[in-house]
Amino acid sequence: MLFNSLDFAIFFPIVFLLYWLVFNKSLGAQNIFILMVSYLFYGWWDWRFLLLIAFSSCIDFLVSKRMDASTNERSRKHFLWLSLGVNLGLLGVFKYFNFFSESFAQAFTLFGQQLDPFTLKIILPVGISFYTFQTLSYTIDVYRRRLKPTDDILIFLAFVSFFPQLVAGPIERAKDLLPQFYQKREFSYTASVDGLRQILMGLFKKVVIADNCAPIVNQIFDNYTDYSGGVLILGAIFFAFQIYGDFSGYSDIAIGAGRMLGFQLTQNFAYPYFSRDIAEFWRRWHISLSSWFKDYVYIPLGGSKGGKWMNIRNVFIIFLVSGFWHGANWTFIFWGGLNALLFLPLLLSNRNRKNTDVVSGDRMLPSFREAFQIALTFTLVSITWIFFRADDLSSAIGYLQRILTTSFFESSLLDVVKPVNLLFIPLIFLLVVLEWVGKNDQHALETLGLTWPRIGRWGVYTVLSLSLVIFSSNEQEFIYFQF
Amino acid sequence: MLKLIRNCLLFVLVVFVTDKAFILVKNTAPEMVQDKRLNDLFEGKINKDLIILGSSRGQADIATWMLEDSLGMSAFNLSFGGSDIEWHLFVLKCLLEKAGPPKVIIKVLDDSFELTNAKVNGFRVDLLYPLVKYSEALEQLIERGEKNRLLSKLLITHQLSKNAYDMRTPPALNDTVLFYGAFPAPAHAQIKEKDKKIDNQIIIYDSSTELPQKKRAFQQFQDVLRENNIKVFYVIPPSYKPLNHKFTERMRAVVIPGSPLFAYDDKDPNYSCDAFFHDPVHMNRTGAEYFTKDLIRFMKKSLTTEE
Repeated sequence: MLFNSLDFAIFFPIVFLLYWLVFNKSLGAQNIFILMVSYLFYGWWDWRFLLLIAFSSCIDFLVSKRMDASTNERSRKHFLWLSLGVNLGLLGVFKYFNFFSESFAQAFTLFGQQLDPFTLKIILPVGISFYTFQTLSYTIDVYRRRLKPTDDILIFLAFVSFFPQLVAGPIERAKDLLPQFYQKREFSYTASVDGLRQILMGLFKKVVIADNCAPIVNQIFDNYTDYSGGVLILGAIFFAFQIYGDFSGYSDIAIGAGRMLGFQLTQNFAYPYFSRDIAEFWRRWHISLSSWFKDYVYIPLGGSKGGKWMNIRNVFIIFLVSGFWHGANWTFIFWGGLNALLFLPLLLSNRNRKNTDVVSGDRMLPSFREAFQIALTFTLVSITWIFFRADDLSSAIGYLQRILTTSFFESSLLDVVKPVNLLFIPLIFLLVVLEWVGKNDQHALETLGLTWPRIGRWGVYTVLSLSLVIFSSNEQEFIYFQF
Repeated sequence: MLKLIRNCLLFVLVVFVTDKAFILVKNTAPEMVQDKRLNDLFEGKINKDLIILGSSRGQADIATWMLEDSLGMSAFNLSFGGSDIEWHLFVLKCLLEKAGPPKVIIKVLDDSFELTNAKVNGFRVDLLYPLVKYSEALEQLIERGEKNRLLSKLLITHQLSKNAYDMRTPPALNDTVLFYGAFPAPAHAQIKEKDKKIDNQIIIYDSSTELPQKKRAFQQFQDVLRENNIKVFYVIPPSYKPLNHKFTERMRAVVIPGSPLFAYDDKDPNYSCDAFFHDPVHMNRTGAEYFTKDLIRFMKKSLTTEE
């Protein structure tokens, strides 16, 4: 079930009302209800996915219990490897098998041997990368004795399958989300209204911004040889907004829906396009994944404690692994590597933690220096997105070459799409303004207009709501579902 | 909880009321469209003896004004660039419902693309977007999954969507619409050198590539004509490349038995003359008039034989 579908528009209000009016009598009832509707939500795509998530959850539940009960370090380690093997094995089969098989066959062609790659005709279960990482963090934390495993399998199943964040995050840590299932949730008017505002903002980002950028981006990237440099630059900028609107929009809806049900989910995007350098960008983009890699890959590898070279190696490893997590394609690995290269100068000059505050603080406008830094970072990020979006490495390189070698103004955006498809562009500016105003908050509409008279506040919400209707096309899947 | 429900309902009401202001756009959008033939169709204003249905080749290649003069019938061209047989069936049904059956229909067949999958031809939903004021247009958009029925009943903004704000018709290869509904390309517009290269691959016709839904629509199209006792002429207009005989044979096999099918005479050297073509698949005004003369001769003969 997509968040931007009519199905969800009917599903969620019913869940919300039943949750607070019927199932609010006890904690157990609330949790069972959450589990039921989460499985319904996930099974809406394909009921067979449920078998996979239930299997993976049960294994982790049992393994963690046995691991906790054991005092023998060797056997604890075996249980950890069992959990890692099952989870990463499933991920490997469903997501990476064909990639490895095809790459292996391709490698043989370099030696003049032709191999027919053996590929599996299987569909990638939606959100498998997200819930796999969520359950992995649970078993690893239990192994490290940082977390007591839960005895309640229903709570554990509900934690893994919690529908707002199940298919595209935020990737929640057990230590943050699991305890919330042990506390009876009480209805809060303020939290519900705030959740609604965040859902509205998320839908605006997805339906208006991302989905309207998509056809322009597809047209430009699929036919990049037909366009001049100016159009290709615009294509990269539109993709930057598409991927941000798509993914952060999903996170906003997830966090808002969670809040309406009494849960506090992790902030996943903190206005990343206002970052002043790449390091800051990565502290603000897909925060739950970056922190996961930091805690479970970077730090176990030695982090920054083993000297400069080890630090550089570890940074490259997490960026490459992060790229590979996004998809089974060399473009994603290259994208990860490129980000690591952009990060490197900051690391070498010890400036990677220079910008940890919110840009401009409470000032209405950035300074000239800040504006330049933001523009430069956005430009670098947009260049890396070309590799992320391109079908293959040669297309990405060809795209960049054409930007640099062709005339800028030979073709115009009107050669790409009809003028009507550009009508949403002022709404991109509206998004930037709303985000800039709300950059100190958890989401752009958190405090916007709270002191205004209702007519002004509702006016903004009405504009956003009607733009959803006017600019919506047929339901489009979220990009990150494929990861 | 009650406060939340009350405020949510109040907000929905505000959105609902604001949405109603868009009735102005809904009523204005059809007036802003350059080609008003669909408006006239939905309003039942097209009441003619002879109707031409087809894609851009029907628009450009048939000199409607000549048909009217020579055949002594009022004629109107309801061909739409980029349209397919499903669209032609839709137009035909609307015509019958709103203005009654014409005496004669000329169905222009699109060489190679008539029953097969082609990117260039499809159901022109885009032409319906600004016309949701008319129930026929809205209903068709709902049936094709472009609009949701429930939301369409509730929200005018959903009926309209962004496409209704496209007040410009994209520049076409032809002039403006003439009184007869035709779009002739200017006589001076001639085929460019680079377009003269003939792709021999195109002349192959493979009936296994035909789409079931297009075949069904073609069958329904003929059923409607038969039920309403409408005389039909199938026409294959010239193209710069050689005539696709396989396609012509195939069409002869699928049309109502005995229906007249007129394919241009590919032995006539004029049909490979640069001065007659605007591009490889469309004639200019001079070419259209030359071809229509041939067509009129064929039609006259056929109509006289019947009498």
